[in-house]
Formats: sequence, structure tokens, C-alpha cells
Amino acid sequence: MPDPTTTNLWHPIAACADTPVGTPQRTTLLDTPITYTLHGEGHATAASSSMLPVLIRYGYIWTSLGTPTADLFDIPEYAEPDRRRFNAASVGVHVSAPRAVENFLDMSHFPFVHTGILGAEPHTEVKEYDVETSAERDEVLATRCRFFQPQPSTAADQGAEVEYVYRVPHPNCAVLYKSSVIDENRRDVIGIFVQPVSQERVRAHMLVCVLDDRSDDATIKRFQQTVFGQDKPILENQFPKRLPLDPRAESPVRADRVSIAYRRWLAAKGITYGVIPAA
Amino acid sequence: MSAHAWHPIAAARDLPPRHVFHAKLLGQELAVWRADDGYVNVWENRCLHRGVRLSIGLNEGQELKCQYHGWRYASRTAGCTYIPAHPEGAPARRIANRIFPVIERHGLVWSALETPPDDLQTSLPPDPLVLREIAIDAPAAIVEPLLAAYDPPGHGPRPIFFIQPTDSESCVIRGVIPEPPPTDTLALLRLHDAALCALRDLAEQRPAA
Amino acid sequence: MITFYEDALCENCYAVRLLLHMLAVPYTSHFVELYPSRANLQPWFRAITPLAELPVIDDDGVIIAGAAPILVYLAAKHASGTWYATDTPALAQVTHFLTLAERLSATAGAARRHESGFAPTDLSAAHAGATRVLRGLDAHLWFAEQQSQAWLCPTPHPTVADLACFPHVILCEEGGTSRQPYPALRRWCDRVKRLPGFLVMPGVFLTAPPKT
Repeated sequence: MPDPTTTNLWHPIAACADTPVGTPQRTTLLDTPITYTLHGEGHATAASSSMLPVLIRYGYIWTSLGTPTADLFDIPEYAEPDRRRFNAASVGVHVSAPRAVENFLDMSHFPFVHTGILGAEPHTEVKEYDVETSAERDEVLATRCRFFQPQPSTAADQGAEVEYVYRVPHPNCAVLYKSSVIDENRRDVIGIFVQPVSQERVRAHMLVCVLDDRSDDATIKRFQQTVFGQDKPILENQFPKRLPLDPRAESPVRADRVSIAYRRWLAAKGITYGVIPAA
Repeated sequence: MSAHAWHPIAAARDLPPRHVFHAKLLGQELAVWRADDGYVNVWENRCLHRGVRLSIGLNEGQELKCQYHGWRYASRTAGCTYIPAHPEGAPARRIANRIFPVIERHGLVWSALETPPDDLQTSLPPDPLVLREIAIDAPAAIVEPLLAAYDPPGHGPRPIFFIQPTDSESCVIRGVIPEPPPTDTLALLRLHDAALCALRDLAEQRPAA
Repeated sequence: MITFYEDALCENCYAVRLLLHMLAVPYTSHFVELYPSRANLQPWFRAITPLAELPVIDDDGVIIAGAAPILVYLAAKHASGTWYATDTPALAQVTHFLTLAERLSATAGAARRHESGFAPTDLSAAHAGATRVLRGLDAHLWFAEQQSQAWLCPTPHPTVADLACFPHVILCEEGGTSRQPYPALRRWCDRVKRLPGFLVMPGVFLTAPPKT
């Protein structure tokens, strides 16, 4: 069995929009085969060897192999009616969930992996940003992140210096908030909700919750699929596949402050699934 | 098959300029690249920043650049010379990828997981005819007796074979012909290639495709 | 003006996109998502092409479906002296590799679609089939290099044979098929990446520019 923290979490297992109604579907969560059925708007069931708790949130079916003690994290922006909200992709990746989350939190790779879109040389510098681990909200937060992006989103027709906030409210889920090109007072919200199939395999579900009055759904999806499709081979070429929690195992620099905080946070939670615990 | 022994891990011609060769020895993945000055680097196939394979990186002639965050590492020392996220000044502390010993000789590239106590000992001439390497999904122990019984096709000269143990389940046969006849080397290469592919099929216990 | 019906993550579409860019032939993209929505099965697309598969081009009324037919059509129309074949032995050689590309799609491609979560397949059969083809390609390219040839066909210029096979080879690791045992294939991939007009797709990295 995975560690208690991991076992008692809510985990995403499918996007509702990609799930045929009334037909049992199969997936794997934490090495456990799961059967689930979407019965209609807002109602689903799931079972492994016994019935499992289920909730539907943000357009996804979530379940747990244990007993979640808290509600799922909140994303208030999801309720705003003028946003484009959907699952951009659910992609299998041969890597651990924490590695996938850490990649989502990282800006330094933008000019190299997402060249011409989220970054470009010579704008490679990662300026100082702030990191907070909140015990009260039980999350890691990185604020005041700034990066120059040639094509920040489908709503943008030119490059801009974009402000980011990264939030990790769940060991396998991260949400980013980036300045909207349509309304400077609001932010686009993009989430990665990682389903741990096994310790070294995941299905990454990508929530888009953005302001865009010019692009159709297919265009926005394709943008996110392209960006994530660029991350996938990097993740699959990363070793070890499990995230090392020992601070001496890899060589972070100042730009990696949020990932250092994330690794410490996972260690403090006693997580052993998908990670290599510190010695 | 010890960690302290020299093993061939590539042919010299496997390392053209601006290419990174992906090798494996005794379970250890290696990134092998020739700098523009000819020097052959054999490094652990893992950027020490976040563990991404260096074999997908960019050989820029004097430096290897990691595909993930663009970190640059110098030929010979594998020392990190540039971190794009912090372009001002040199990298904060001494960061260098793990390097392995290397000898380029007899048309092959040799390495070891731990520096061997002695120089490479072979009776090979400097420039033999190097056969195409044959990667086999079978352990070296299975391949060894088959290779010992190898019958050179066409009554030609018998190659000298080296078995590179890539990991516990696979190996690579590297053959060289010390004194090849001066003509029709292509035909000779093809003859041995076909025979060795048949040996591979036997070792893998699968019928030829 | 060509209308190119394509999907951003599809290997066969990438092959056509590469040739369009290398020939500098202008076109308009019409994206049709394969996974997960299967937009290619919509009636409007079936009306264009009954097999409902990508890629498809509409060249001012001439509709061609399938990577190999499109590659052959474009190369024969715009660059038969280089990208296609000018004599019958060469025709057979190009066709051999176009056929091999289909085998790669059915093996390495099937494994890739399986691992991404899109399609069930017999994974070990797919890997075994991919290994067989990749081994053959690697040996072929090694012997080509021995004769100072850089491409799949014994021509000084790359042909559609190279572009048909390249996407399947360069994306095979997403399906769990490693390229590590195929050094000649890996060198050929670098050469393809250095061709003028080359462009990446998600999953494909640029290589270092050549030594000058």
C-alpha cells in the first residue's frame, strides 16, 4: 500500500467530457485497477475491490483508495461564467507524479523546451521570486514570478512579460495563474492534475480555465497539448523517475526555489510513493 | 566483466562532430561525444541539475548543452560553465557531471566504470577493419560460447571479437579484422554481418525475421 | 493553395508537414483532432475522404489521403529530380521505405498511442515488430554510410523515403521503444534535423548545428 498521505488523497481519474455516460470504464490508480461509471451530470461511481468515495470537481471525476479527511482544494475562478473551461488533455507519461508537478512549476525551461511560445533566448533569466509554504492552507505558493514570453497564450498576438503565480494545493496537483492579455486585472488559470497510475507512470490531466474571446476550443486545446507535448519527452528522459527528496541528490539553483520547497513539503507529509525518500 | 576493466563502448566512427552517442556499459548509461578538437568525452548520461539524459543534449563543439534548462558543460572536465536562468557570473559552485575514463584506439572507443589500473592491453594493429556492431537482447554469458564457435564465412580471416556487456540482459558484439584483404571490404563486412545477425537470432532464441 | 488536414501530434501528418516546409509550398492548415475527440470521424470529414484518416490534402480540388500518396504527389509535382525518383530502380527503393514507414506506424506508432493512453494494443508484439524494422533500418544506414551515402536511398539528396520514416523513428521512444541500440539510425536522425526547412513537433528536439 502507498503511504497513508497518498492513500487518503483525492486523485483525478478521468475528465467527464471524455467519459461516455452510463458505460463502465477502467483505469488504474496507485497500482490498483478501478472501474468507474459516469451516470450523468454531477454523478459518478467508482470501485476497486469495494466501492470508493467519488466527487466531481472542475470537470473531473476524483476518487480515493482511502478516506480523504478534507475537501478537495478550491479554485474560485472556475465558477466565473465568462471563462473557457475544459480538459485540454489527458496524457500518459512514463514518469512519477511529483516529477510531472515539478516540471509544471519550473520556468527556467521555457526558452529551451517551449521555444518561441513560453520563452526564447536570450530572455533566459529567472528573476528573484517569492516562495511560501503555508501550513494553514496546506500548500506551497510561488509569487512574483516573471518571464518574457513570445506567445503567452492563444489570446495573445505579441510577446509580453508575463506574471505567474504557482500554487501546489495537493501533492500531485498544481495550478498556475498568469496575467491575462484580455483583462490585466484577472488571470488565466491552468491546472495539472496528475493521476498516479503507478510510482513511475501517470496520466496528466490538464485543466484550462482561461479568458479568451477569439479562439475556439480546439485552438486553445491544441496550444496546451503542444506545450505539454513538448514537456513529455523531457519528463520521460529524466532519471531517476521518482523524485529524489534528499536535497543533496540533485543540484538546484536559485531559480529552483519553488521545487526545493515542494520537495521539502512532500517529505514533511511522509510521502514515499513516487519519490525516493531522503536517507 | 568487471567495473575496473576496459570495454569497447563505441566505434570511433560512431562519434561524428556535433553528435551525442548513447552508450551503455554494465547497466550504466553514458553520453559519449567528440569535441571539435577530437577529444572524446564519456560522461554519465544524466545532467546533475534535474537528471535529464545528456544523450538528448546538444554537442556544440566545445560544450554539451542540456536540453532541459540549457546548462552548458565543458569538454574534458564536464564542469558547468553556464546556467541560463542566472546569466550573470559563473555557476555558483563547482558543478561537474560524472566522467569516465576513455581510450580511443584500434578504431574503437574504450571506457570503464572505475579507472582501470593498467592501460588497454590488446594485440590489435592501430587501424583494423571494424565490423558493424551487433546489439543483442541476450546476456554476454549466452553470447560468449556462440561467438567462440563462430565460423568465419567464406574462409576469410577470423575477426577478433569483444563483447560489450551493456547490462545484465543485453550485450554488443564488436568485431574487428586485424589484417583485412585490400579489396572488397564492403563484401567482407556484409558477409560477417549476416553471420553475426544469425548468431544474434540464435542467442535471442527467435527465428530470423 | 493546398488545404492540409492535419493533427498536431500525428506522425504521418508530421511527414507531410516536413515536406511542405522543405519544398516551401504554401498551404492552409485545417486541424482535425484525432485524440481524444476523434474529430476525423465527423460526417463532414468523411465526405472529403471516406477512410476518414489523416493526413489529407486538397490541392485545388485534387484530394489525396495518406502520408505516402501525399509525399509522392508533392515530390513528383514539385521536385521529382531530388525528393522523388527519376528511374525505375529508384522508384522501387523509395516505395520500399514508404512501405516500411507503414510497418513502423503499425508497431512503434501503435506502442506510442498505447502509452499516451489513447489506444489499446498488444504492446509486446508492437515492440517486437518495431525492433525488427528499426534493426533493419539501422543496418541499412550503417552500410549506406560505408558507401558515403547519407540517406535511405542511394541518392545525393534525401527523398520522401527519409521523411516518411523519420517521424516514426524520432517519436518511437514515447512508445517505450528505445533508440539506444541503433547508432546509425541516431546519426541519420541528426542529418534529417539539419535539412533546410526542418521543423520540430512536440516530442522532437533540435540537434546542434553542424561544424562549419
